[in-house]
This record gives sequence, C-alpha cells and structure tokens, in this order.
Amino acid sequence: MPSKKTLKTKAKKKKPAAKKKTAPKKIKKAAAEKAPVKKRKIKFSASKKTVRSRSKKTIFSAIEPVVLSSEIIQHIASVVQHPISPAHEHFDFSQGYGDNKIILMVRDPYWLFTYWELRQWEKDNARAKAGRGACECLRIYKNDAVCFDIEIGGMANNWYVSVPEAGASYWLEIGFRSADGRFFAAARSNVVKTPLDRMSDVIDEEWMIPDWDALYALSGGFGFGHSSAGAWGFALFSPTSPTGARA
Amino acid sequence: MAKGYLALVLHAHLPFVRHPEHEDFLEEDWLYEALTETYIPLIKVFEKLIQDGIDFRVTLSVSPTLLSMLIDPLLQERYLKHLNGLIELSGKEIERTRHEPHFNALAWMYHHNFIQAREHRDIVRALKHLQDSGKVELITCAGTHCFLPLQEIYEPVVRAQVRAAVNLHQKVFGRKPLGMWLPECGYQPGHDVILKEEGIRYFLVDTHGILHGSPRPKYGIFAPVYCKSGVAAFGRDVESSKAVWSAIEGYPGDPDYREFYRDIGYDLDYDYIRPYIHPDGTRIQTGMKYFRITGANVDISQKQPYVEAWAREKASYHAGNFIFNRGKQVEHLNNFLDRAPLIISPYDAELFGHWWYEGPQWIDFLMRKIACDQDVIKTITPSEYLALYPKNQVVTPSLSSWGWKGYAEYWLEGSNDWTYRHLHKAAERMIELANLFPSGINGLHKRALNQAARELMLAQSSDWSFIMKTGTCVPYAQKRFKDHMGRFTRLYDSLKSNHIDAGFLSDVESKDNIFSDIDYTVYQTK
Repeated sequence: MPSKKTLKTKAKKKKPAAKKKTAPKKIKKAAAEKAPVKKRKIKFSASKKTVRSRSKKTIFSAIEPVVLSSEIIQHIASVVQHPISPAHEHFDFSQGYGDNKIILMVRDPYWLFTYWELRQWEKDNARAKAGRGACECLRIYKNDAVCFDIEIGGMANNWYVSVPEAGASYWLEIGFRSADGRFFAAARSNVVKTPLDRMSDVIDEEWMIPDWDALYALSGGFGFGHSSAGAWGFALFSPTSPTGARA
Repeated sequence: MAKGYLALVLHAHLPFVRHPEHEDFLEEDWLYEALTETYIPLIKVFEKLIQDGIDFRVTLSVSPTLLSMLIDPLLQERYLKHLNGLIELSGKEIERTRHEPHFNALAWMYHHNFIQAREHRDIVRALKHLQDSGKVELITCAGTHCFLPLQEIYEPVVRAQVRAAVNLHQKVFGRKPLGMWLPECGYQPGHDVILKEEGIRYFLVDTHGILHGSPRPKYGIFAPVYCKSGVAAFGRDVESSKAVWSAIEGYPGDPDYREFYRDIGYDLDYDYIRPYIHPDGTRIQTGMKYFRITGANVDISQKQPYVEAWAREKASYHAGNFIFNRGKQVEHLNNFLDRAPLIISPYDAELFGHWWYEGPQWIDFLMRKIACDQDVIKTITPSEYLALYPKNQVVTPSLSSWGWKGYAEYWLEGSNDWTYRHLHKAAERMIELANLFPSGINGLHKRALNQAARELMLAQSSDWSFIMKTGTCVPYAQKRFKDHMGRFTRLYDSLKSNHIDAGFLSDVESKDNIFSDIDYTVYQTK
C-alpha cells in the first residue's frame, strides 16, 4: 500500500519498536572496508510498479506511466549526481591514527559498541606478560567488578558486546589472558552507563521551581513582538531584489 | 479553564544540502520540495488562523541547517528558479488537461499552490512574524543535527552544537530560543547541564525517556519533569503520535488522500516533461500528483484521480476524531492527576504537506475546532505550560531517542559504526587545535580554525549515518561524510604544520558557509 510506503520511508523512526533484537555481527573488518554494499533504493520507487498491468485501462488512464525501471534511474542518478571530487580534495580515511585506546559506546540497554586501536609495542608487551598460550580478550567490568571475557580474533578492531543488566555502569579492557587466568591489559576504556529498560525502583519525590522569576519573564515576554524586526540586517526576497541579495 | 492541554510540536529539519559547485544538484531539491509542500503551506495556515482571530499555539523547531539554507542567497535564487519552472509546467498542464476535468482542476490547484509559494517564499520573515504574534513558539535544534548521545565522550562537541544553534537562532529571529529539539530526541543524561549553560530551558524526549527516568515520574509523561540542572524535559505522548504516524491506523493512509508515488515527473511523456526534470534527464518528482491513494491494496497503476473536496472533508473529519480522542484521554487523565495534563504531540514537520499532502489542512481544522468547537482541551506551548505549572518533579530522564527501538541503534550499526572512530578522532583534534591556538588570534589561522569547526560539525550530522542505514542515497551520504572529514583533516594538518593554503580555505569557506559567526574557542578545554 503506497500510503504505508510513504510512512515507512520517512516515518521509519517513529514506529513502535517491538521486534526482537537481531544478533549483531561480531567480527568486523577495518573501517575502510566497511562501506556498505547494500542495494540502493531510489527515493521514489513508483515506476517499478507502474510498468505492470498497462492493459487494464481505466477511464482515467489518460496519463500513462512511462516504462523506466528504478534500476536505470538509480544508475543514471548515481553516475550524474556524484561526480568525483576535484583532485585537490582527494582524501582517504586513515587506517590508524597511531593511538593506543579503546572506546566504549552505548547502543541500548543491553548492547554496547566498542572500537579500538592498539600500538604494536603495547600489544606485544601485554602479550609477552601473559606468556605462552595467551589469549587476546575483551574483559568487561560491570559496576567495577569483572563481569566476563570475550575472546577476539586478531583482525577485529570493533565489537558489539551484549551485557546482562540495564541501568548498570560498564567499562572494559583489551589485553591478553594468560593460561592461568591472569589478565594483562593493553588499554582501558571510558565508563558508560546503560539506560533502564523499565520503571525506576526509586520512588522518592523531589519537587522544584527553578528560576521561576526568570522563566516567568521569558514566558510572559513571549508574544508581544519584542524581537527586533530587520535586526538581522538584510531583506530576504525584497521586491527589488528577487534573489534575496544582501542589502 | 481547560481540563487539559495539547502541545503540537513540529520539527522542521533538512541536512545542509548546498552545492554551489554545481548548477543543478539533485539533493538541493529536498529543500525546494519541503519549502513548496510543507514549510510555506504550514506558514500560510498559521497566518490565516491569526487573520481569522483563532487562538492557537504551535511549537516549531527550525533546525540550524535548515535555517542556514533558508537565509542563503544562492539557495533563495535557485528556489525562485525552481518555482518558476513549476509555474510554467503547471500552466502547460492546465492546457494539456483541458478536456479532462478531474485532472484540469488539479492542474489549477497546483498552479495556484506554486504561485502562492512564490509570493510567500520569504519564510524567515514570516516565521519571525509568527513568533512575534505569540501563537507560534520557535525553538532550535542542535547545530548540524548531531546525534548527541554518541558524542558523549567529548563535552565540547555537544556544547559547540548547542551554542552554534542558539547563536544562529538569536541572530535570525532576534531572541534566544527557550527550547531545543534534541536531534532524533536523543538524550544523554548530563547534556541538560550544557543546555542550561547555553540558555535552553526545555527539551523533548521520547516516552520512555521520562517513564524510565529516575526517580519514577509521578505524572508519567503528562507533565514535564526537571532535570537536576533545572532544565525541563517533556515526553512524547504515544497515543496521539500513533494516530498520525502509524502506517496502519494513521490518518495519512486514508484512500481519499493524495497518493505520493504517482507524479507526472514519472508518468508523462519524456519529451514533454524533459525541461522540468533533472537536467541530466533523470526523471524526478515534480510535486504534481493527480491521484488518490484509492485503497489499501490498489496497484499503483490503478489509482483513481484525486478529488480535493473529498480529501478536505476527510482532513476535517480526522481533525475532529483527533480532538475527540484527546478529549477522552484528558478526561481519563483527570482521574489521576491533580492538575490539567499536558499531551505532547511531536512530529517531523515534513510529514505535513510533503508526505501527507493534506497535513497542513488537518492542522488548520484541528486548531479551528479546538478553539471554537469544544472546551475540554486547549493548545499550549511547553514554555507556557511551565509558566502555568512551574513546580514540577525532579527526575533524571533516561538515555533514549525516538528512533527505531528507542535508543541509538539506527545510528550505530553495521552500515555506519565505522564513522565514529573518525568522528571521535576529529573531535579530539579540534579540541587539540582550540587549546593550541589561544583566543584572540586573527587572520588566516582564525579562519582556518573556524572552518575546521564547521567541517567537523557538518561531518557530525546524524543525517549521514541515518541515510547509510536506510539504504537510500547512500553514495551521497558517504561522499558528504568523506568530504567534510577530508576538509577537516586538511585544515588540521595545515594548522599543525603552519602552512595554510589560502586558496583551499576560501574554496571550502564558500562551499560550507554555515554558521558565519562560529567561534572555534568553544572547543577549548583549558
């Protein structure tokens, strides 16, 4: 139903979200390789449908849809709309910034996202301390206590981490776990707090009237033409200057 | 006194799509379409309501990227050219459809719409007048619509986004905004402190942002809460949102309303329509659409002609239905609250007119019927409600957004998560530069620093990661992200090495000319 499509395309974000979480992809390649390769959809995709059932003419068929597939439109659009940048603007994302850090971000009450970059010598150092049989890991801390480890592959530089509790604080370390279970960190992340996914257990009530006078003045002033007309200094679309040139 | 209040909040936003380097640029059409179909029709509705003496309140968020485009002379000139093309096309359509009354009436309708748009295209001035009338409260949104929770680790990034917005708003509209629409309603606990410091008194969050706040909110979402900082947070009402947004139950899917996807830009003979589509020959929407939705499962080729009177009747009916339901909602809430409840109904402004053609008409009927036909509910703005009920509970809202699943997943997933390591690094570098170069420097260095701040902010637009996820126009979003990051990096390198390329700087200043008064020192941390 086209009307649904209308809302789906633009109103996507407002839809009630009750679907089950999909398992996030765990192993990611380096950033530059991650450019999405999804099939693109042209903004307005009616033509795909309009080419069918032309034989069923109605009395209102004076306007016949033209046969032009959305794939063709996409192709033309992608070639023409996005000319290559001038040579002086050539830019490639850096594969690494020479940092030794790990950053943690909150996606939702039960998923975190982390990315990292390690200097080789810091990594080697941690590995050497962990000794033979060391395993590269993320060690997740919940409310400052060790929660669990995730073993990671050598190529990964980011990870989606599933966490057990909403409304808790988390941080993590990346490093090596020795055969006897000791952990040697190469970098430690920032601390994040996941949001609650339910009503708070705290039921204390505190009430406030903040800056009442100031707010009253501001609200009371609303609606009495206090803003200075023309303060901005130029006439937009003035009759003598249809292009809105600056006065 | 009313038994309850309704605050209709519309968020008008488009990413900064200005491309002086090309004569015609497809993405600039986003602005022209939104102007013709949404912003101008809405303003006309509000002006007419005032003219007719209707007492109403609407809150309108105008994003700084949109506002920057509205005041840009180049885009104003291009919009006029665009409109002139549409006026010519609709004139031809009146002639072409002269023996088809159904279509002819619609060709006339569009012809009038386009002429009216040309007459009313100075919308910044109109918005200012609306603000001064006291009926429309204008609020702002973060600078380049950055999804702030994902920039949590760099406070100056959030501050720069907020300050740029407040300054631009004040410069254009002559007063500081009281409220801020957080992009995608993305709230991170603690950001309210920055809002307060920049002069913002309230913001909006999604329902669960309030409901999962702590301590437990006594009035749910039907009254604002104060963060500890004293900044108020208003929560979105689920029921009224669904009435408009829901693809299944929502009003815009009614068979009598205009069908969005049938457009003469696609339908008509190629040679005839050629001068009015993209110069490269790509068929695009013209905005002239002759058909109605017709039915839930009707094939697009079987749509029936649009009948303006039927659609208008339906918009009136739906406005009445909305008011009836809010009235019932308020009467029910009166059993639980010891004050008049507030229903916050926030929507993307572009839904009205662009996607839902009859949307502005629906708002028109809504405001008239609320003012004249009943006395259960009254419209209000958030700041007026705070003035009415200044004492509110102190609750820290929960991290939340109004996006898919309610948190950050739309802007942090497989298609766009790679951007954050670069965005965060650039933020780190911007802070480094701001600390390196003291306040008070002038000349080329100051220009380069300010331009670096602009490029960083443009790269931070949530629109790019949003588009990467939706899968529509992805190459454009990727290019924009890469361009701004590339320009930022080059400026950073040149400032660090003390070799600023004046030609390059002037070039990017002319392209990315947003926030002319930006001050890079906002990123200083010492």
